[in-house]
Amino acid sequence: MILASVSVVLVLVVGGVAVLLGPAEARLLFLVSGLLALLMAAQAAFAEPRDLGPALILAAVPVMALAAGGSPSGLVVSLGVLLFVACELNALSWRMGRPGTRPHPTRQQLLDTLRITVIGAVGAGIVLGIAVIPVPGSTMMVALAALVLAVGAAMVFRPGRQRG
Amino acid sequence: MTVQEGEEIRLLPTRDARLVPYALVALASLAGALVAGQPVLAALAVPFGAALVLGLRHRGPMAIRVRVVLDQEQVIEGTPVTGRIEVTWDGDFSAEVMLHGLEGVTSEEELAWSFPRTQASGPTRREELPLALEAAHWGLHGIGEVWVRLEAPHGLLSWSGKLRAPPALRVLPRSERLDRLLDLADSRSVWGMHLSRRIGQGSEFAELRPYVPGDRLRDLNWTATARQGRPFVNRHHPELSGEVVIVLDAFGDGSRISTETLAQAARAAWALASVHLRANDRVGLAGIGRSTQWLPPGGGRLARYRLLQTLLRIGGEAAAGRSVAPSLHRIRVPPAALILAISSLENMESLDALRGWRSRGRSVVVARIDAFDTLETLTPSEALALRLWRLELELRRRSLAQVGIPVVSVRAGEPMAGVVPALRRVRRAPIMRRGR
Repeated sequence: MILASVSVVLVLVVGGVAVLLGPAEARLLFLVSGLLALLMAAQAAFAEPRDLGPALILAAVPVMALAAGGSPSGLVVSLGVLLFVACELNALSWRMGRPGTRPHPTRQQLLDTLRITVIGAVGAGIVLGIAVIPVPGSTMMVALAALVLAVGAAMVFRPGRQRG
Repeated sequence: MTVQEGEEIRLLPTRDARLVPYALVALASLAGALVAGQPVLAALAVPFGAALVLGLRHRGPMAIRVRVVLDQEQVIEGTPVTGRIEVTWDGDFSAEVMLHGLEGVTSEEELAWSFPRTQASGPTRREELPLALEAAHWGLHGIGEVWVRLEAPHGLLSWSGKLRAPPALRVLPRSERLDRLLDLADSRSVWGMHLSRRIGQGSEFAELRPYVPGDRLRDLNWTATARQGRPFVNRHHPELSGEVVIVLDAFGDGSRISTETLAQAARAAWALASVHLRANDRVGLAGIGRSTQWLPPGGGRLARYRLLQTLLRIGGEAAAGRSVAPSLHRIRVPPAALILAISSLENMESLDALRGWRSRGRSVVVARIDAFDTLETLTPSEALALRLWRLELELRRRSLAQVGIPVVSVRAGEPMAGVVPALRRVRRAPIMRRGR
């Protein structure tokens, strides 16, 4: 219940920030999108189907619009990471609710969620850093860097078997 | 102890609900970065892209080995059943196991287990899941289905499957105490406990008659001889065995009343069969209902085992709800056998079968189990419906009596010990037929 509630709150925060800090002409669109995202997040958190996907997509639209409109990069990436964390917490809460499971996540499960969040946040930060470098075709380079970084970070930091 | 060979289940992956949205956001962000020239959108794609890469590392089928071990092969209704489920899988994955669709057994505990991945998990992980069940329904059962589910770390795919445990638990019906036999239609020339109407070798006195050459000297009745002045001998009824075919009406609709009625019928059938087998009678068993089971009359210890197997098969199929078109022509009742049907008289097919046997000259008696008294408080309309249904059952009972099939009613939960004397009385009573 706590994990599911936090996921809904995160979606609310992302939507609220997008509405407050977004351009005035797009405020209504952001508001509608945010409200729909919030409703779907609440439904996915507490009832079947447990799919936060529609809420993620609806909440991501204002965030991408903020990026396209020139909002601060750190804000956009932070909102993106918050949406990602909301999805992971929602998935973890539904895993707790299945028959036979414990009512609270295990330490390993929390570590796994934290690991992927840190990987994503650090990776996004590195990509932003690359984006600062003024070189021709930097957008293409950044996109490629994002791909390579995502793959590389996942391979390096994947949970491995105990050796020996 | 029943141990089944560990069966490896091959599980196919199914995608998590997050897979498609993550892919859409990652691709849309990258595309948006290229189209709009905003590098920050590429940064937005990194967390989702990393999750996709991590979550799709394992994509192929996964294997898990499951073995069901029961401590008992054979129990009686209402007794505990213990055992365990042994599960072995790749240690890198978390697993969830559930025992679903219990057959013939019940459990007060939730039969679901979860094993999250731990850092200490080795390449292979093995767990033993304790089972504490209670045998609830007679028959041959496989206890249920084992459902398993595997998830990898950061899993965007899961692997699930199920294994149906083969029938390995025999639940015997609780046995009612019966110590009287039914009169059988005819007798065979094998020694048993039934008194034949014929005169022959035996221990039960039948009559006195004058001595004729060839009579055994041991049969001389000295008292009558002294009184009459000429030799008289004792004549006896021979003790011969007979044949009885127990017909179990398994036409249930799966309701609680139907299930309890069938259970009581099974207990009565087993008790009657046991008593008649001990009396050296030949006993057969026919199950009519969802499927047709037929065991020709037989005697001895082997017949007892075969009767039990057939009874458990009937119970197992009734509990599992399996339905096969009935084939009554397979049931070939010997002409001299007594047919004892245990039925609720609710299904017309069973009534037609009984009338059919009677029309072919077989002796048929029916013990009807009335389970409607177990119903809880009824609304006025339900009480009226029940009265109408009882009238219908009474009509059916009379229609059977008119063709020479006596019916005795037994309330559910009451011991069957009173049925046999009632049937004996009914069979001996003259049948009143109305002339047309």
